[in-house]
Amino acid sequence: MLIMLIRSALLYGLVMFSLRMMGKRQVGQLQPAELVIAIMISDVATIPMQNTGLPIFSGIVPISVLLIAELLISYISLKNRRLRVAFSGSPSVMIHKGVIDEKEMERQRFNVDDLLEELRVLGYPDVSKIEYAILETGGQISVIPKSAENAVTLGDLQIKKRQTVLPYILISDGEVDETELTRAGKKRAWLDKQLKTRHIQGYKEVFLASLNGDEELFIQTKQKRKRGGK
Amino acid sequence: MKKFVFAIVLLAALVGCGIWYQYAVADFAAEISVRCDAIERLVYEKESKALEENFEKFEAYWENKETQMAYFIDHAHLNAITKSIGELGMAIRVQAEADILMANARIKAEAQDIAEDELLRPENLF
Repeated sequence: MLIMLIRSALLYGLVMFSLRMMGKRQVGQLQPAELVIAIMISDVATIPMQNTGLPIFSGIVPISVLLIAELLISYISLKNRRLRVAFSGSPSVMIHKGVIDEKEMERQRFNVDDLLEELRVLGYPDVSKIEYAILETGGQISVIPKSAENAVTLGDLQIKKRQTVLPYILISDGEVDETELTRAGKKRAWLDKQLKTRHIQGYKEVFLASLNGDEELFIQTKQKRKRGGK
Repeated sequence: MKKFVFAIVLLAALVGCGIWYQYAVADFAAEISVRCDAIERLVYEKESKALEENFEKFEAYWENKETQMAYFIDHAHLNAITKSIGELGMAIRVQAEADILMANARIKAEAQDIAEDELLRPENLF
């Protein structure tokens, strides 16, 4: 039992390390090669996890090899466009200048219903309003609507608006983030004063405190939990 | 670039360990074979005292080797050898020659099986 526990923890650590090494892209948008490796890693890890008769290296070695393959492929893909296309494919233009490209759809084994469904999901129920639809290498469809269908932007109207600044999270769950405080150009004394004016006794009472670009401080205190309630 | 270097270093380490492992398995099978041959010879020469001494050394060698090999080889294969060595010891104690030779041959065959399964050969690759 303990053996299985330790082996599972070790292999979990290794799988997590491998996925982290592969980068954030791995989780959100999988390229074909990445999908294959992610599936294989999870599968390979479970075998020595369950079977204690197998040496743990029978899991560690294949996971390491898959990690190496992924790192090398991504590095080579980064440096060489031809290999990048070979490993990840290239985007396919399904609608070109408002016309559906039947040959490209056939090549991608995409039927009209699939295309219409994807477009509806993206908020384009009417094909006639689309100038370009591109099937990306990750399997998502990108749409460029016809110029007449584009929403009017502030830039079109030549209206100037201050750039939105990412708010600084000064306190999160009762803990002060010193880095954010410095980045916001504030000091502890300033924060203490702000809490005092709001009748807050200490940082521990604060669930979230953030400061936006307009110097507006938002504070939400922790909710008091009822004891002995149903 | 750091990840690329890490991948290359890891690959080199794995290849190095793999090559070392090939030699280790071949050595292990050869060593078992030599020791089994010695036991067989002593049985035919009726050297019971030397046989017992030889077996003790063999047992000690196996205890040490089994621990090392358990990191890389399926434990079922190793357990089979341990079981056969136990039977060999029992047969030597009661001086049952036929049983000694049978257990000895089994140990040799099991060690050869491990080597045949683990060595880099086309039949193991495909």
